[in-house]
Amino acid sequence: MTAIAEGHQLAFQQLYHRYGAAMHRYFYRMLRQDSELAKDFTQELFVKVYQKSQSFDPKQKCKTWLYAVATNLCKNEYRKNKPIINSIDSNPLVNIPDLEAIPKIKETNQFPAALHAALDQLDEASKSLFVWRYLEGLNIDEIAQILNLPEGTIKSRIFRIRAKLAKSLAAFHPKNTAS
Amino acid sequence: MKEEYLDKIEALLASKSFEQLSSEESSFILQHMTESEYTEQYGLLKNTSAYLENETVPPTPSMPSLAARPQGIITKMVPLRNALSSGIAACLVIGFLSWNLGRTTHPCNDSYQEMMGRDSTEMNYANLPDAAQDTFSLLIKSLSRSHSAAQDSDIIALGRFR
Repeated sequence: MTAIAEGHQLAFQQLYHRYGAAMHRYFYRMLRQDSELAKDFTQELFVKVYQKSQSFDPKQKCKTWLYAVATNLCKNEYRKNKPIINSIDSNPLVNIPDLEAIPKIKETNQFPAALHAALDQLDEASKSLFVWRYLEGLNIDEIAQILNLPEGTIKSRIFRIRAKLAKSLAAFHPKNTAS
Repeated sequence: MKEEYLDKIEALLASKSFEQLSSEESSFILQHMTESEYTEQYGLLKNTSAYLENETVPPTPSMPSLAARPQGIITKMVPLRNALSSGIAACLVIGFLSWNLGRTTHPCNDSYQEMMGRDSTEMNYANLPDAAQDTFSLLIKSLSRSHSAAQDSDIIALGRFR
């Protein structure tokens, strides 16, 4: 990142080759699997990273910084397009709408579509947590670094999100689908 | 719930179904959730990892073309050729302006003295065309008349105050 801040194009190319695919995948998962939008956001992210590379804190991991910037971009998109928010943190008793509301998904038994539909019912922060942990495979300490929160807080939030999603997607459990 | 419990639950969920748990593990799990909750969460993680194996993500876009990073006017790099040519141009402009200014304001300058009277206070309009001369003389006369009228009115006003 220091080299990028000094204007080295080669360093930027290396950064893109290392994280470009991961960031694109992350945007694809976060933005309703819209490939065009994911493409635009990936490009916007790296242009931003290049322009603001001086603001990078060397104590931070490059990967977590990229995810933090990417999440901020997603937040703006969520603000524009997300009318209903179902926050896990603000109201832990709130239930994710049952997938009975999405009969087509249940009929075709497509878990990916059902998972994304359920994730879309969450607020941006809860969705990010699940995506980071179980789709992107980030460690708890990496997530804690992105959000600048204690690891214990992250773990308990993930526990609650996982429980809610599991309840909503219980129909897709092998036991239930077999019967 | 304690942090270590959360870690242990997650580790078990990621690796074992409820049936595969040892009696010690299952009793630990049952202290924190029901069997069906464990099964649902285990199913979610199992399905998610199966989905990731088969997930198709569109190809990564090409690297963005980078615009020049915005720079401050002081720290901005300027090519040597541009700097030299700008400097020369600035010198030429300053030289021309100073030469031209000296020429028009110098008291010994002929063209300046032709336009103005010798003592620089009296306008010499003898070289102007006839029509312009008439207009100019009329203007001077009317100005002097209005000046004397103003003087008269001042006197009148002063007289009133007396």
